[in-house]
Amino acid sequence: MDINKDNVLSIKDLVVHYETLEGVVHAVNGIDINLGRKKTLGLVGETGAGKTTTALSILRLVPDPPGVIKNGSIILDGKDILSMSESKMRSIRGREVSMIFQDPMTSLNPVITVGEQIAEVLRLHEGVSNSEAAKRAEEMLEMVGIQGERACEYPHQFSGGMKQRVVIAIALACNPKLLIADEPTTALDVTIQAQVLELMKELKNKFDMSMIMITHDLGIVAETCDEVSVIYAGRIVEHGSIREVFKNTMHPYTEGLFNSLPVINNKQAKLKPIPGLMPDPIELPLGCSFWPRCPYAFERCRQEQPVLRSFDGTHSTACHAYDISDFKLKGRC
Amino acid sequence: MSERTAVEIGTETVVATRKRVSQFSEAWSRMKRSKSAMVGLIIMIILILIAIFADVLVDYEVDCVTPDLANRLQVPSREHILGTDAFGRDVLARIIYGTRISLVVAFSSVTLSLVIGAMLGSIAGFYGGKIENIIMRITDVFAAIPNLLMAITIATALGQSIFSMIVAIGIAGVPALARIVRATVLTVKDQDFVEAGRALGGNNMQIILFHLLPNCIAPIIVQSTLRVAGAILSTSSLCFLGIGIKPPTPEWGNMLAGGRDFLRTAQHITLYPGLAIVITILAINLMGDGLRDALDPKLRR
Repeated sequence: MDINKDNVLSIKDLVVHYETLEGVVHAVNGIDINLGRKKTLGLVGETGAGKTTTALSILRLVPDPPGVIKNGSIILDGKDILSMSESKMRSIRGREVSMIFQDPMTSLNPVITVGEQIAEVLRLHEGVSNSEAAKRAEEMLEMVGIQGERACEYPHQFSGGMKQRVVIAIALACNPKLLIADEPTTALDVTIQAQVLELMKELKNKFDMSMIMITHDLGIVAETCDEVSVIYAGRIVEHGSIREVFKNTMHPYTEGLFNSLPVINNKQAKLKPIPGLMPDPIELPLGCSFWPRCPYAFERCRQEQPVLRSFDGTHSTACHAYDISDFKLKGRC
Repeated sequence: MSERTAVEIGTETVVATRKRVSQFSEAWSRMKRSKSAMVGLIIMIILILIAIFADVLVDYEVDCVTPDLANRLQVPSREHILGTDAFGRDVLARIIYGTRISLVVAFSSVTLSLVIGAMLGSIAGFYGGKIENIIMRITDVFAAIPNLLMAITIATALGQSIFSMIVAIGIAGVPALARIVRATVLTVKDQDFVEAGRALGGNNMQIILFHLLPNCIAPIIVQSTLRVAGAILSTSSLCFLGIGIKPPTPEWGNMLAGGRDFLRTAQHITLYPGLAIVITILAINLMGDGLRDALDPKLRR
């Protein structure tokens, strides 16, 4: 992988373990991410694949103990995150990287007005006066489509979608270079999802931010992202631009994800879920982590861990099957 | 409700007027519905006013402390509405002045235990591990000593004065508050908004002050209100035992102690200060119960 100076974020060979009493949980097992300026990367995968852990590592907020960043480097805008002092790190959180959490109902403090919560970030990072912070908080609210007068209301007076707008306003208050959105719309209903995604896209362009969109919804990826990395059991199994991954799916797992989606024009068709469950991250299988569930698996998959190899352009995948000439996925049905 | 939905659906919808309801005005409207809480509150306000204007109502030197042996042990009459005590001092005047001392000692001591307790409790709850163990075990040791015994020890060590009473009763109240704050912090600290606060660059201090303590306010208010009643009782008990405030300073417990010898002949000397204590504590407890109901989100209808 080339370390491009223009990259906002480059992660190399990140390994994160949770050392629990039951054993070592291999949450992230060597992930590489390169994210250019103003680009959006989608991280797709099942629950427990290591998406959120990867995101928390960027902020160095992996709960410790039991979480340990075992290996790898994270370079954010030319700065090495993992060797930074804690106080330096605090000045980066919220100012250069912001994170939007999954559930807006619980990520706002219920006893403090929303305006005050936005103002708090401004006071923390920009040291502005109270009145200035309050004024900027109102402007931020207006920008996410909420009237400024509502700044003195409490989170319970807002609906779910409005709360997520407030969360976005807080995250963007200090104009970060990178926004990490951890399933920002999972807790919202579909109409609101569309509004919130539209708003995020619009603000991303307005602020010239890069964004990492963590989701398990391929629709959202198609809608908002430039590139996508598919994660399975803490490893990237396929990476490429949206067009490459969606049109020319290479990894059997990605294919399985697409096949799990209901097809609108054929109501008779049954859903084809991927059989089985994610392997226990405490005891990952030898070889490819996906082989127990893979319809194409052969002997070598049980023995040897496949590495990510690039094919045409930016498209890369980790699968042994491509060593067999003429191998093609059966395709979506 | 309708105007609220209007905003929720469309973002451009302009809402002309809206009633801003904060948590506290909501709690206040719930408390107003409870008659007993309001009775308690009104009595408390009257007592506080009496304490503030005690100087205006009675002449301290003449009515409260100067013996008037010609008029000792008078039964209630027009001149002395609640009679006089063994030294001929007016009982009503002394009760009025006693209100001031009782309330000052009670509120200051609760404030003292609140500040120390909230600090220790939130630090213990937030950091956990060794720090929590050390703080909580020390408060456990303090909690194992009976409150009054503890107050007696401190009052004896510091000498007889209002200040030492405040310290004695205040420190005796720390363990209970520390525990309550710690328990609330434990329930709050794992919530997403604390994590979000960290993700926005907050340090530990800022997270405790901005995110955790505001969420502990309801249980803190309730507990402190109820503790005020306990503190008044402790003040009177200490004074009754003769280790509180020195006579002749009028204090309800002192008055009870002074009237003890005349229980058979002049009951009014003990009856009225006793009633004052009962009424005050009843009022505070009624108010505290009402507050607890008003601030408990589970009881919202």
